[in-house]
Amino acid sequence: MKAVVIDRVSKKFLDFYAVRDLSLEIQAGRIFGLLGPNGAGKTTTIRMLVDIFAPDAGQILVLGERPSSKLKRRVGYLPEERGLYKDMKICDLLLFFGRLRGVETRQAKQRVDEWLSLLGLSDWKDKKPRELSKGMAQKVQFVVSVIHEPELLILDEPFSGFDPVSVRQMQSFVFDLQKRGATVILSTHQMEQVEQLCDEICIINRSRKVLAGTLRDVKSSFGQNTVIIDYQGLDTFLENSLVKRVSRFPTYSEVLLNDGADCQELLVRALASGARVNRFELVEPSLNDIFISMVEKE
Amino acid sequence: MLETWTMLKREYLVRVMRRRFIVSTLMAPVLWVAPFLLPVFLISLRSSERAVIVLDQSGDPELFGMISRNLANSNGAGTKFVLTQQIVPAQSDLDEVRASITKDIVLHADRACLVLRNNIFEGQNPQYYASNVTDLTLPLLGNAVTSAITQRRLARDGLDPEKIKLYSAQLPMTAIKVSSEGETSEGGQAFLVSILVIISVFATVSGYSSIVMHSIMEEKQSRIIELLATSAEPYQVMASKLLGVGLVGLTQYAAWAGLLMIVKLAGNSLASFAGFQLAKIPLRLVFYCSIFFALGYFLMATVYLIIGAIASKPEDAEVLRRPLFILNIVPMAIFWLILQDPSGSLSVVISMIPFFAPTMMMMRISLAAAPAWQILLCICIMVSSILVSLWVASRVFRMGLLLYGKKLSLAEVGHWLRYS
Repeated sequence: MKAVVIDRVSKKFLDFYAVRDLSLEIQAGRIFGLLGPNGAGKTTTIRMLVDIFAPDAGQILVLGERPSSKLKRRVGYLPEERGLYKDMKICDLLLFFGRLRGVETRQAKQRVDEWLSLLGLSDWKDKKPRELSKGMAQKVQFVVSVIHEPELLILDEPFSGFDPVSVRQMQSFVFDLQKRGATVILSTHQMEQVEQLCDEICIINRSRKVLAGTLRDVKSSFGQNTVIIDYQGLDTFLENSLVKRVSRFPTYSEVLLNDGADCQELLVRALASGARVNRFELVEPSLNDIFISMVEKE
Repeated sequence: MLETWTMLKREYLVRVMRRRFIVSTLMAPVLWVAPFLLPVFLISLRSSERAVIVLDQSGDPELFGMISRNLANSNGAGTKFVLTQQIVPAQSDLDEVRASITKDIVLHADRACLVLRNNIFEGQNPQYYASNVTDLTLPLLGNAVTSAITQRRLARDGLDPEKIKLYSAQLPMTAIKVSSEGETSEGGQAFLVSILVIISVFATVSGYSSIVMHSIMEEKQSRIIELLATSAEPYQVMASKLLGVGLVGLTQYAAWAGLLMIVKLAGNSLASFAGFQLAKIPLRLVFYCSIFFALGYFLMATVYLIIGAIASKPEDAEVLRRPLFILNIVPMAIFWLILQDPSGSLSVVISMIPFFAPTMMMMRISLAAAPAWQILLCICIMVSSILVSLWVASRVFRMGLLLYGKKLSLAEVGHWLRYS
């Protein structure tokens, strides 16, 4: 079953196309990564899915229906720019959003208690958002988007600002929701998160889709053109026509080769330059490299 | 429906439960009337004395005594005039005598001089010299002097002193307000009630409308609006905001009606302040105030809602609301036109203009000068205006809600109006 079908959808603001002729299908129960640089059209696409904007052309089906107010209770949304009512207690605030999405008061109270306990925020239930740390507030915002147990959850940059422990905690919540049958759309710039969470991805650039598919297919389609190299010595051997781009990390470098370049040739040049090579491994390109190369190509 | 109700309840309860609401409900009527009543009250409290030397060249031994008696009988509040007679012979130069006193008057603000010249009975005006001639209680002294001169003129013409007393007795005119509810005597009460009515409607309409705008701006700033927009339809967000805040205003009017009932039950002696009796305000007026508050509020709040939706930041909203603020102030500047001739054609026209109607029509109602058909027509005009502004709001609101930090051009707003 398809949770989301976007069929040749366009959205224009005055003379500017935010989304142009976009088609996508997201299978139910998957975690889907919607990627793209700033201003690519991700948020506009999401806003069309949650019925804030209507498309100018094309058709959208969410959980088998056209976006409408009826659907709002089945969809959860964590916007990129998010806030909380400063003058409400955390428990009242979560209860308010639960009620707003049609959860019975008693059930909503029970879920609020469960989530706060799960997040270790039970002692903060009577506090107001201004008394919370940024991380705590973000956790509360996450609960706001899932309090009604949505079938489709859309998370726009859900992990920004979290410490690594909290990221792992939130990731486990996302996997739990998927296990319960929810479909998750994840929009983020953190490619590492996408690689860890997503089954499928779609890259949008300048309002158009530039790449889509399962993460495995996308990566294999780029072939093994990346070399992980751990070396000691000068890096002059990396400055040649074989190399497209180098990402340097404290213990190794990730080298993206140009089309048709031979990795053996690179190894020869490294040794010839006098560098001591501890590790030389040919791997699939990282999603980060794929993303950058697709965006740059455009 | 659940969505609207849930948001409305939050909007209402958050505001009504604030301490600020309770304090403003209790204090607002006092603060509105205080600027008008306080000066009168302070004057009545003031018991300063002014020593007045009466330079009497009239040659009438009875005149000074009569002035003193008239002054004592006037029982006026405020400055107490203490008169001292200094007889000036007819052949002396009175201005020379006065000049010697003038220096003293300049140096001492509590001293004055009253000049009664030798031809005072032939039409010469009495004159009062002091460093302060704007004293509000000065007319009391003036009345005492002119009455005494008239009385003495009649006595000198041989009239019976008893008859003089009868003929020259000052009979203040009583103004009686005639309305469909009967006749009620007036003592400036109608004016003060009108002022109270116009200020209460003005303050509540502009106050609560601003709250709607600030509430939208706050939700845009804190980015809550996107969560609301994905949980409910924009018209539900709009309706809950308008109704929730409007209900807070109506709760305030209900509280004032309740307070008025208590005052009425307690009797006229309570809440009587410098001649103004709260118990004399008819409850009917509070009912009309609630109606016209609601109409004025829905019109103004819808316009403010549009401003809140299309403004990207509070500074922009302040700029956009400026013309409205001026529109709001106009009734405060022209209310005297209504006060002077509440049934005149100009007053009728002004009270039918949508943005002026709530205050101006309320003022006419408080003065019993608006027939039922005019009130009904005014309500119809207001309802039509509200529907038009709601139509505009519904077209602009959805798009405007999600604009953060982007300045809008008129072309964009026009585009939304045409194609939303």
